[in-house]
Amino acid sequence: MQLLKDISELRDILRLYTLYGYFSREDVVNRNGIKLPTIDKYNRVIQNLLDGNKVKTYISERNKYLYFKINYVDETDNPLFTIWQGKKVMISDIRFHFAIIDILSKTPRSDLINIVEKINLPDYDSNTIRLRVKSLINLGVVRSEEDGTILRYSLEESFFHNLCKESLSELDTTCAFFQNVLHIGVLGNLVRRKTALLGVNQTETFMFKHLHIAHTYDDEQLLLLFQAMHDKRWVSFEVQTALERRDLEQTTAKKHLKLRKINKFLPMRLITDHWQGRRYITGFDVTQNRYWTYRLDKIFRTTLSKELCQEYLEKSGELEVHLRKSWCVSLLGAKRRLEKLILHLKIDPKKEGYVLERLSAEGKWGSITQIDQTTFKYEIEVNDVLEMIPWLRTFTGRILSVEDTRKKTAKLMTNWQEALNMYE
Amino acid sequence: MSDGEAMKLYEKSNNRYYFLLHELLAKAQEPNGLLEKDIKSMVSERGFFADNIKFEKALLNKHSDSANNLEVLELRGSKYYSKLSHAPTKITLTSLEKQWLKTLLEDPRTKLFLSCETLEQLKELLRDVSPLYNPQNQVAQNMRNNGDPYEDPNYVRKFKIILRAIQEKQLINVENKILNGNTLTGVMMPHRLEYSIKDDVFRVCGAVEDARTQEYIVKAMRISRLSNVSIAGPAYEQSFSELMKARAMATAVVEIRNVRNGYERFLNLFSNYPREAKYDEKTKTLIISIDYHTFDHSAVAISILAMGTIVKVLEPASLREEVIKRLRDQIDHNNNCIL
Repeated sequence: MQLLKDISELRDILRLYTLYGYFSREDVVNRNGIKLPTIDKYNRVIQNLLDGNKVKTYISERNKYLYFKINYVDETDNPLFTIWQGKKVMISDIRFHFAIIDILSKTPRSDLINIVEKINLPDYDSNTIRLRVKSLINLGVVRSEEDGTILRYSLEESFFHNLCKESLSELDTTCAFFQNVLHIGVLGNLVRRKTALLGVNQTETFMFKHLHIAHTYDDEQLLLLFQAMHDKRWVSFEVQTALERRDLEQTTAKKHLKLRKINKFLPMRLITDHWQGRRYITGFDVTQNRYWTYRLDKIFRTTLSKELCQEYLEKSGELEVHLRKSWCVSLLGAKRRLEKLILHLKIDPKKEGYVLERLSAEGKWGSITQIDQTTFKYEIEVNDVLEMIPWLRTFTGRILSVEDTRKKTAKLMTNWQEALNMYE
Repeated sequence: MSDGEAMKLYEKSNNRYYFLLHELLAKAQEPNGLLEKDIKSMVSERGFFADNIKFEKALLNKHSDSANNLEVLELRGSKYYSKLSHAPTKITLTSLEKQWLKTLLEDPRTKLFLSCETLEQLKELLRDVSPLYNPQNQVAQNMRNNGDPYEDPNYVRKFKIILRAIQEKQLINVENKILNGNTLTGVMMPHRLEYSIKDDVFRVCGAVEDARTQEYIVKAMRISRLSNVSIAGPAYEQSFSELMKARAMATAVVEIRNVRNGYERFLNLFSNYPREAKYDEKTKTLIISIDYHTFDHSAVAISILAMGTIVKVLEPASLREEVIKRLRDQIDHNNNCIL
């Protein structure tokens, strides 16, 4: 079948096509160090996973670029979830799956010998079938019980068994919403596929703003990191190295990708920037001997260590101190000094109450003082003022003055003239 | 979750052929059976196009080597029947899916969708399951702090009426309080419940008939600001979804410079909008067209301003003018105001 056993190799390429949309096969070869025939194979797999019609190409000068044309504005389901439905299976996998479930539904409490007899396939030994049964146990579909020295197997009772039609429909709507709101939402999508099999009539009910559909690519890494957070376990992983910033002309993302090994890291928090669409993992990095943050989409090949962290509570408390005054992800510097920002805005509270409301709702712990009828002062202390700049720019047209202790906002005032010059 | 054994999301059992087979076997039970053409049409509709032929052959037991056949269907007369007693009632959830549901049940928004009885039933079913992740390990940044009041019974009542109206294609009466204290009333054809993840608010998005022109105006109204909602009746136009799509969308075209990793920053910020990017090799610029709802015009303008000097709006004129006006206003402040 034209599917893959492992999706991790595809993850970076899928992200490039989804997010950037101007990558040729040569660009991917250059960036990821993959050979041309391999990338051609991957492109075919991707077309298959995304049902072909979403994958488009265009030709410009010498290059042929690949991109995804996905119109998800009106869709309740994230169209990229289909990638999780494409793990390579053998015909024998499917055959055993259904045969074992069928045997156990007819004769519960069967032992392995009963199952082997009933499957009646000469090419497969009992050990193979034992492994197939074990994988069904891991999935939560089959359970085992000890009967003296014999292990007996039965089907787990269907989760949906006692739910009436209305409850199933409510559950389906709930999953339709939360699949795009909770992390690892593809699991909610899979629940919906099951409620559909039970006859629930699925309607398009929702649409989403600020939904970053490409997050789903990172969810297998996130699942491992959540597991480590739950267990208070150390992990190791590889990260894409920081992008070089010298080359202004060519897109930096097309540079050759390098991976750096992080040998011992304690993941403690997932930080989600809901506006700019990035997710970060923050925790303690042993090599650097300090708290550090990595972007989730740059993390590859996470491995769980056998070792648990003994001083997790202490470290968690310290990290809280770091995050208390973080505008987004910046932690406290070595000197642990906060930076102060003062912003004066022109707002007519009678006509532009919505701006004042936005300032208050998005301004976190900052204070707002009315100076005169249309002048408002906003003050805040944060770990790093630099992180606030995109948000400060959203008040363009209303800013009377902006200053901060480290003069990080000084350039803002000249930037606006530069921006206007582009139009004149 | 223990012993350090890694959990996997990319599982064989999530492969769409398993789901297809569940559905197919249920339909192929006695006495109905399935014709070969029905089976082929189900496979081509729900499978992966590059693998469908191989799967179809295995399903219809047409391989010469029986080990490559699925042997779950048998042909009797002109129809195929299931050889298994397996029916969809045996479908259950995996451990990971249960853990995800457990996480969901701890969210206050659950009450918007689930009745008390269903909620209690699900809690009981998932009593011994641990959540997939702990909310204490989450930090949500750049969100508004004044989301909708999910605990307010009046809000929940309005929400459930709108939800029902959308799912049953009914019209609704809406009463909306406006800034001057007056109340506007109207009849709306609700299209979707729009949820803003960043703002944590729900809006009902639909069309209201303009009394003067008799034309539909597309609107998104925040549910928490509606003073009342009630069902107005079933006179819902079936062609409305198409009309809604045509009326509600606009396209912005922008040019991006790759300063300070600008491409990546811009594309990440706008990754929640459907868009196309084209790279011009001669000018070394990126031209991006972004589709957005007309009622999101200001939000798009604000996000473009947030990116500073790396982005220039080419189209539409209204968006370009708005960005220029805000920049001019800002420069006027720079020149006039010394605090």
